[in-house]
Amino acid sequence: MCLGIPMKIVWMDRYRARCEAKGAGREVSLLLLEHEPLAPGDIVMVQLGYAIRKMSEEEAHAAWEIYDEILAAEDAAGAR
Amino acid sequence: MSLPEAVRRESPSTAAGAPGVIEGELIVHLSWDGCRVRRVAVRSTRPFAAARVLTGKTSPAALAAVPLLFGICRHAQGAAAAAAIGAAANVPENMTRLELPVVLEAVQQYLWHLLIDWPEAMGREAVVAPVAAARRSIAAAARAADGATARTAELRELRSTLEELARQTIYGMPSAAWLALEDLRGLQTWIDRSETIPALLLGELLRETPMLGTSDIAPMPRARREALCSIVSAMKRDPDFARAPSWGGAPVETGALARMQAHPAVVAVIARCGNAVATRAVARLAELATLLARLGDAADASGTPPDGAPDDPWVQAFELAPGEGIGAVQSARGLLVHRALLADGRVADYQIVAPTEWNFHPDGPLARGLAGLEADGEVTLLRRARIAVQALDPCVPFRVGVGHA
Repeated sequence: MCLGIPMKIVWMDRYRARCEAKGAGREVSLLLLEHEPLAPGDIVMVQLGYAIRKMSEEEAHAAWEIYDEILAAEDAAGAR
Repeated sequence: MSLPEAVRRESPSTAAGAPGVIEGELIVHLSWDGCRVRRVAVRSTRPFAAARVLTGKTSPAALAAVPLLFGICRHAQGAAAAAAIGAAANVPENMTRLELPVVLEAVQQYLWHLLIDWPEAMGREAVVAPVAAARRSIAAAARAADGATARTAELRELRSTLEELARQTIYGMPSAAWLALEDLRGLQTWIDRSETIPALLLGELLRETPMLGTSDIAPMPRARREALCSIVSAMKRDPDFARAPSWGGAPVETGALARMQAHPAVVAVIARCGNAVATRAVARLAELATLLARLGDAADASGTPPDGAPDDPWVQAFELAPGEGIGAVQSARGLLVHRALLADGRVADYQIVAPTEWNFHPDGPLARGLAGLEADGEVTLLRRARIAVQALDPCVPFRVGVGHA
């Protein structure tokens, strides 16, 4: 499954951002979104090291609800 | 093959490729005797519960969830879900309507691969601006098109924009002219005359490592109904089938090489290199040109989205039994299959087999292509291995580790 991860921008310059989600941080390239207005606090979907689209808070929340289900299902499968 | 607990030296797939929050990663371990690779182990930590969590949701909730989860392949995943759930509910989706966003997504993916991932894997600078420009143009056209209406003008303009981007940055000539290349001599002339980064990289591959990544794994045949039903039977019998899928009991390679294996230029490179990194590159170049032609056909067909030849659909749906449907979508990375079982308007069972699982099967194209790889030093070995991995285009970060055999 090629999952894209919603992450919050905590720091950015023109081309790079430090993004966080669930306590994990990562350096992300903003080059694919260079013409979109972005600011710290915005949420982007991250995949393969690139921010690939801006997400609303509602979209990110809905996605993370499903990811929490996935993580719980993976944990349950691992525990069996 | 099992992966040794300690992967001794590992290399990130990209500078930004930190360990996944949730998406997992591919870990490739090479047992190297100082001269050649003796054993290859491919392991995935990707979460396979993603399909399972759709179980229990209503059909609309499941269809709404899919595009939230998937990033670079969201249109392919969304189309596969719509096709599978539509077939299961006996409310068939219009395949032609689903196909256009899938084809445009594949064009974006090829630009990304040819201009970002491939150059980076071969130690060159990525060419990001045209990929970002294509992404913006496609998004703008989608906003302007407003569904099925007013599509023709936007599609014609979009096709023209994408063709110009591809001419400048990939082919150095009209894509249709590149598609007419039919032998090694023609390819070499293109390499010698073009100044694009793909021409440079292909020339380097053919000159220095023409056999890199060559595997004896067969390309996936056309995904016709009978074969897809057979895959679904295996999915139902074996819950772990999606982790290491097979075709008629054997691993196969999916993606551009499989779909373009009959193109004359691809045939010529297969004859020289086998199913190698260079062959996959030529197949991608051929398929991108084919997709641009397909968009042109669609734009010229008074708003009819591309549906290709009757035996070449990119989106298919079949009802397997009452309440059970399959959606099969071709994406840049290869065949994507969704199976949905509905009961009382809710998803009773859901399974997905993604392209990466075919190509990174523990005994599939990557593993077989790296076995026997020769290098006179570890730096060279890792560089070549990373090029071979990237040529199969995993949709998650990967690491390559080396241990001495």
